[in-house]
Amino acid sequence: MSDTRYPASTPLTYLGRRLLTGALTLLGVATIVFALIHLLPGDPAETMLARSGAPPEAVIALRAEIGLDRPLVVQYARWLSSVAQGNLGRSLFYNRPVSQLIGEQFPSTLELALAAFAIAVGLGIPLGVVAALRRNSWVDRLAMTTAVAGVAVPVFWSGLLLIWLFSVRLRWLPPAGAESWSALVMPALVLGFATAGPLARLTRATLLDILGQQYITVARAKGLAERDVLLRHATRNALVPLLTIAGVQLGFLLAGAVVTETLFGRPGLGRLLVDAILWRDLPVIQGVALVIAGIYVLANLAVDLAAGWINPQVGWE
Amino acid sequence: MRDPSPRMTGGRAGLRNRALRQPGVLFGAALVMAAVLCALLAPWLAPYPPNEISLGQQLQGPSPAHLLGTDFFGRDLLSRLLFGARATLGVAGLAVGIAVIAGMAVGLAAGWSRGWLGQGWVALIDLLLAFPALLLALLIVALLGAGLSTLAIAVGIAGIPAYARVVRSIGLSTRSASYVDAARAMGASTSHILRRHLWPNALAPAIALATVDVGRVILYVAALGFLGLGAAPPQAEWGLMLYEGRQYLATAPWASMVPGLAIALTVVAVTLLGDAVTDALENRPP
Repeated sequence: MSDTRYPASTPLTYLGRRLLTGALTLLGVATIVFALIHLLPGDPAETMLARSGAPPEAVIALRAEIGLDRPLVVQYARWLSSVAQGNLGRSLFYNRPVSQLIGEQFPSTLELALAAFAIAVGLGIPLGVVAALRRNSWVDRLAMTTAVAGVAVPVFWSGLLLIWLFSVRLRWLPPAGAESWSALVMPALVLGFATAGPLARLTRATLLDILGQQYITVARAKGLAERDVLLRHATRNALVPLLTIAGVQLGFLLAGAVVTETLFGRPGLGRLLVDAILWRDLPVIQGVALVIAGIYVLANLAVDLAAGWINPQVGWE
Repeated sequence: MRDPSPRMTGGRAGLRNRALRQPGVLFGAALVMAAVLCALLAPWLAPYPPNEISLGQQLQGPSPAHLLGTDFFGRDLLSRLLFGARATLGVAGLAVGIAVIAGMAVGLAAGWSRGWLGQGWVALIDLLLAFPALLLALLIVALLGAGLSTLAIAVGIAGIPAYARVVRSIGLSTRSASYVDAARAMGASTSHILRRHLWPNALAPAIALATVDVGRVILYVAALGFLGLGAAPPQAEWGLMLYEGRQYLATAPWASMVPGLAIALTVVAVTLLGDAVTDALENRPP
């Protein structure tokens, strides 16, 4: 997201401007989470107690306890200031601080996301590069068929196939849980393969785009060896878009492990969120949504900064 | 469907020819058509009522009586699969429709309005894009309550910002086009310009995005159904069927494999078809 209205001339102003946008985006994300929960039809206190069939007094008491009886602006200001202090409220179901619950679940999600990311990058980028270099050959077709499978096959089905094969039939791996490293293998494979699909397709498209540029033609016309054309010209220019794509995927993995965690019975942020939705535990929903969206924003910010560092032109234009 | 962009492709025949030359397109088109026909004709094709419980025939493997086997309640899986296509594909279609129409409206508003109003729209679109779409859909379902109609609304709303962004850029470039200036000079009203100039121009890219988007939307719908946030039992819906069948993976793997395969094949077909349509619309070589 480059803004050309400001005559930025140094990396430092780029850094400052990008950090400011990032901070504003975080504030905006917090505002949207708050607005979604408080402006949509329905009273949060009633929603939360609807299941237990609590008497009206209980609803009024809960409303007072969470501060729902105060004006919206006051609620918003209070919520923002407590969020800024790291206080995300108390879970109604667990009766424990939301931040504590998130702190417990986050390592498991991070572990899964990083393992899946490693698989996705290790598989997706080489597939995309090979497909672009051997364009329209059988290698390309095979690579892109694999990629479409990665895009299209739902993780809850590929995961099920793996569970059936490795847990039910062969009994090599545990079907669920997160106690041992072996329990990480299948979830990481499933999620990594699903992420490798889009990554391979985008890598191929990016590289093809670059290989069609004039400077590549010029480099070839100069008589440069094909290896040098690819390594010195194509790869270097492909790095920034690839980094951006990969970074978005990492943010997406951190946020998108919901289904995988549920399927494999793994603890994690996604699992916490889905349970909170089923139990209508609004403070947890609000807190987890904020943290996931925040991570996503920060991942994108980090990628933008790295892109600006690799290719200063990105920020200086 | 009206051909969205005759000018970009050199005619309907050009689009069709280019699209058909792509490998895998016929396969994709045939599968998509089959899936849609299954959904439309489910009541006539299904050998049994989808919710008919027969307790003597629980978890049976594929047989002449039950071509795809039965589930835990002895319900015929083929019938449930056909009716499930209705629920899953119907919700996905509705969600894409919501995303396209609302996204175009928001995008045109953002591209057309000037000053702080235009900036405000852009900021809102950017902020919504800062959420992973699945998270946004989850949040909306959380607040509206689980169910097929809320699922369509939630997945649809989560798709709005992507369409709005594409359409906004079209709106921006069209607003300053000379034929719009000419129309204005001839006294055309804003609503006339929006209807006759901006809307048709924005339609082609929005539909191109939609063809690529359908697969993702089907996956989201099935995923939320799998998580228990879509259809309520005993309704037949692919995601929910997969969830229900998962518990009998060891004894009756077909109960979860069949709906899973249906989802995967449909999304593969839609993706292949969407790729071809995008390539043809953008005049891109395969």
